[in-house]
Amino acid sequence: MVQLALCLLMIALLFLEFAVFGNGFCKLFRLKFRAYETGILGFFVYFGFFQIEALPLILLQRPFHELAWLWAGTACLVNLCVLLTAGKALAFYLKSIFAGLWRIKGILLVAVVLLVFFVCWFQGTQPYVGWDTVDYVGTVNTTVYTDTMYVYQGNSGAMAKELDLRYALSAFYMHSALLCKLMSAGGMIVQKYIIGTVCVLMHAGILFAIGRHLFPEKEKKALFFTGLAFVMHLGFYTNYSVSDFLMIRAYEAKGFCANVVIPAMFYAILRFWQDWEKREHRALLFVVCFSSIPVSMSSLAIIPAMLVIAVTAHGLVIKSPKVIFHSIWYAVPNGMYLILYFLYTRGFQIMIHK
Amino acid sequence: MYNVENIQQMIQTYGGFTMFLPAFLICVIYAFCSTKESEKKRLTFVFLLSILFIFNDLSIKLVGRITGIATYYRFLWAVPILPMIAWAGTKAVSEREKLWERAMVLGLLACLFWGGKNSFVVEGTIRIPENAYNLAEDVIQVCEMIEKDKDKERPVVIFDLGCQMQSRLYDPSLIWGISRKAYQTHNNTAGYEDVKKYIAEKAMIRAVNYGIKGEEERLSKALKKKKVDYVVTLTLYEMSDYLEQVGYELLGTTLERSVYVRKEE
Repeated sequence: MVQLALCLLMIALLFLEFAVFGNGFCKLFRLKFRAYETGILGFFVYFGFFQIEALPLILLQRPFHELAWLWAGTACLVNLCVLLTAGKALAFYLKSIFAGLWRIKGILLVAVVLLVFFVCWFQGTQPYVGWDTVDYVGTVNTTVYTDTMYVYQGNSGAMAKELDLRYALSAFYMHSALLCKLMSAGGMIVQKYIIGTVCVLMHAGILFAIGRHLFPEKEKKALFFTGLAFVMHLGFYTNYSVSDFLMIRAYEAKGFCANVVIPAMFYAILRFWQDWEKREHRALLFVVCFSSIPVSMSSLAIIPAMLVIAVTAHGLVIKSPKVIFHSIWYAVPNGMYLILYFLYTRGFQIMIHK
Repeated sequence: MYNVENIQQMIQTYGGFTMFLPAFLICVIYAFCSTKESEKKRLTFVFLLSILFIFNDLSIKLVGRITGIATYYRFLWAVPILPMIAWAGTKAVSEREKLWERAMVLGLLACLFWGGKNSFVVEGTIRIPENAYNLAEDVIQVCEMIEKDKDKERPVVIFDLGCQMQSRLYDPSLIWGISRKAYQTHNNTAGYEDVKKYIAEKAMIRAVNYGIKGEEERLSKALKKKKVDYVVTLTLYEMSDYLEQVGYELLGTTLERSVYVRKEE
């Protein structure tokens, strides 16, 4: 029971961090977003920032506790800076979230919230354990236990010969390990109850944002849209469908790719199509692209492909090649990871030096 | 992973026996017919570019070389199947004025998408986990037994498949004696033909996962090679005497499993 309460507290804390990072980013670049957009942006800024600190340490095979301390210091600093410089904006943000919920109060809101909570509970209680579970949760557990990052194989626990760049290029599981260390809890608890729940809640938030974009005239329609999509998730049980990665495997980075990164990219594209010259829309698209790998290695080729198709289609519709040249470079970070990963598959290795 | 050779097979596997893909197509056609000219153009370009860059057999081969053909299905995640249907559904419901009309549209949606064979919510899926780890209690008992007995920090253990999958989710100090690859490719009762470098692991799989006896010499060699400290197998295989011959004695039992420890030499 204590652990469950701790998990709930950690989920709340993570969303608060997303709000802090989102508001800080908006303040820094003078961007104006709606409250729910700031939350989505914050999620990606948070993981992007974490990756910037974690990746060099992973590649240098530094001990895990160095990352833990570095991130603790950075998070404290960011929180302090945001509180000092954008404290009012943050308070307004939190207020507007509650005001928004109050505005759409009613039976529909209760039904959708209950449905989303049911999915959170459902994914957390599923007994599914596959080889991938062993790899990912094993990696989280091994990281905390050995105080190393990707030096030992996540599944077997044996020492690796080289850094497995299939996983090591994304710091997502190192973030989970950090939560394990912070809570003194096992990887299974953190992944299933905290990370899985974050995935479902973020998915709901992004669906709501898409709904708001598609039905700008009425918030309740966006809510209905979200609820309907969740009802359909309950019935889309096929091999590796997005719903499979929401209902059963939401704790995996793949679950985040299918249900958070890609829908967020889809939303960013919709906003971009609406008015590509608006700074906010371009910033959102860039941040989602930049942080797609930090959240999930599965985004490696999917996100650049989505970007190229969306931007080219828009350029053709408005008959302006400018839009393509202005935006195609958002795929550069993913492109760099792709090159590195391609080299890895062709024999480029970073040997373990411990 | 999808064992597919072309796009058509991939889409069929992804859609399964659900009505989501046909419903998605209908919604796309509806969206195409009901939007402005510029949106129609955009939809057409997106469709054509998607076919050109991703959803064709050549791309499966080329891009699949980098990202892996078995994981190419993930590109289908980028097709907004559920948001598209939800958009059409919301539009249909909100455009009906009378309550019974709305209820009927909702009922139709429910019939189409939910309640069939492909639902997650079926008997057995609504459950309360046995423990906070959501792992089998038996596996936790095995791990704790080893934890109490071990005299080195990271013992090498071989398990039956079910226990192996869950053991390190609970105790990361354990090291598998049988690799994932060995279990994935040689988990059967067949002989030793074509096992190549997995010969030692195959011998251990046959013993712990199938309870096959009569290979003392081969198993003993394998256990020594892999420096195995503990052997975990199902109690119903009654392996005590057999494992005693290869140098392992019974440490204890749980409801389903027996744990053996290497005898002091």
